[in-house]
Amino acid sequence: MSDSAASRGEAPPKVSARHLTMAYGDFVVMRDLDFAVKDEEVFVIMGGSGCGKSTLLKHLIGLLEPAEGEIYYGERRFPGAYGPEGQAMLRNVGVLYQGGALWGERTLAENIALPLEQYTDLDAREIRDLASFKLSLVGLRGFEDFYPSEISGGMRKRAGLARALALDPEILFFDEPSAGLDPLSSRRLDDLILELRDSLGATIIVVTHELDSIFAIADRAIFLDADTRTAWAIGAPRALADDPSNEKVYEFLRRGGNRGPDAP
Amino acid sequence: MPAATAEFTVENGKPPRLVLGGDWRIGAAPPLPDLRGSCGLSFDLSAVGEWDSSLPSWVVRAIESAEDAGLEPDLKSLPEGVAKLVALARAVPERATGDKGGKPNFVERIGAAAQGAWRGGVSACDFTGNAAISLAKTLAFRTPLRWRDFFALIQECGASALGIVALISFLTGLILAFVGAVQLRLFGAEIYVADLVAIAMAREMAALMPAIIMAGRSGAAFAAHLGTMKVSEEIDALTTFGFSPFDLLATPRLIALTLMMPLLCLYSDAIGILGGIVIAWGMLDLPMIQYWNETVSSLHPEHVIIGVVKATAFGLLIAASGCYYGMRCGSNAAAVGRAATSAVVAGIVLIVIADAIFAVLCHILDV
Repeated sequence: MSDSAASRGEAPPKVSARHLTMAYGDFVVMRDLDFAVKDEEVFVIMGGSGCGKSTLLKHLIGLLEPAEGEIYYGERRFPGAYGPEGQAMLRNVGVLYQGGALWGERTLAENIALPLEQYTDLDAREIRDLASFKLSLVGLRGFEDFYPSEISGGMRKRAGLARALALDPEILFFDEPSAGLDPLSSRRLDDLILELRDSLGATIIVVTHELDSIFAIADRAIFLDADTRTAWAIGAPRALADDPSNEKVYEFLRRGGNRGPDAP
Repeated sequence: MPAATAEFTVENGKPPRLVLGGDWRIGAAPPLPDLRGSCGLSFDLSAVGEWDSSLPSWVVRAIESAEDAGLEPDLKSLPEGVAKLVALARAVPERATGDKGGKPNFVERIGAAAQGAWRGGVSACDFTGNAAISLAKTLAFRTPLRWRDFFALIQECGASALGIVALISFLTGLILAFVGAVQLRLFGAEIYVADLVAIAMAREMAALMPAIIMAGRSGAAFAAHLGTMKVSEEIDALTTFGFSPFDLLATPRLIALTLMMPLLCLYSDAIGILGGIVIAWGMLDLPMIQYWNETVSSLHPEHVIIGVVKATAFGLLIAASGCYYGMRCGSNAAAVGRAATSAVVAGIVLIVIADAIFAVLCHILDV
């Protein structure tokens, strides 16, 4: 695939899955997924509850090993998160976990500082300044010395995003960013995602089932189906929502009623 | 309030009817009438007073048993509220999961248990190997130790445990002296209580008792902490940032407890001997200086060294079992509880097994 993309003169896909089959033991979650995420694209992984969206995300960041098939970052095969080679490739990746996954015994500033201490030669002052800056990006200026247990769930999520941005990654993964947030916060997060793409030039992969978010942010989306255990459709969400030939996706995207693509 | 009633009436020219009446409450529903031999079924609920979910669930069962008997119940005869609930209950088809077969039989259970034991062994080897590599790298200063985290752990595994270790060691010394005194007094050899307490504490008890306490304190704490980090994806976050959970979480804990256990052992030695002195002084009327001299002359350095070496090994085993169960914890709250329990149980079993091995080794080496 990458060869053909190169021959057509396009930039190679940032992240791609090739014939990816995911399984827990003998239980196949999804089979034969094939997709490529382009540079500076917001790519949404959608589907009903329990269809394997988060599992796919964990495969893409190498926490789970594919039963079959491969994952590529650019032209290079991504061998998973647990070896030195994969860890080096993950240096370009930021992940926002569902609950924020902040390290509980460290303050917000220290959470952001930990990767900076590990991978840069900055001194303590500069690291602190950088951590404050990342926190102010997500609207948490002044919360540097709070522990994760002292702030609300929404703030934890934003702090998790600030930490994901610590090393200025080229690829950002979001696991259910709007789950557990009120509509206003979730909308702000959507705006933030688009802004990050525009200002940092990041490629962003989002797992969500929130229709609002899907229509607001996605350039393209993949729809996973739990019944057939495979991808049902890939494309721009508005195009999918206007295409009644693909009944399941059409229904999924239209179920929002007035929240759908025709909403103002 | 009138009790719930159900009557099956057959009139000529009409389909058979189930006439229900009274107030329907959970636990007071009448038994289903026998519907066999009937031809069709309709409901008459006009005499029903107040009702809760016992009524629709009874009606659903009646409809199902009628259908089993080959009848076609007339659902239109139900009043609207009941009809809606009945329709709702019958609308959702039973999901064909197909994955959950019947209960495994005896042979399958043995097979599953064997596979589980094999996987457990493999993952324990995997943990041991990774922990050893990480430990070696840290001790060779190739991976930095995060000092602030490390000192917090040192405090947790050392200073914070002093109180409970003192209490247990004092009582252990007391018990040894007491049991010894009662027996030795029969031979007029009370003075040897000092030897008994000193040697038993130094060789065995001062290593064993703090180890058991630390298995319950630190082993469980390690497992619960790492397990919770696993559940909240904090360990995943470490991994995707390129940190090894072994370097950052397991190794500092292994080093901290392995360093603190020998110190706790020496501390326990001293407190245990103090417990012995209290008994000798209070119960045996031995002059304290005589007891002390006997203690000093009986206590050879090798006794203390054996105890300290054992305590060091116990510390490593406790920390390893805590970290192992914490890091392979499942992803829910119950799994964290199981991890903590398993860590303590495995820790204590390992301690006792190691102690037995040490006993044999000491015998072979004649120390």
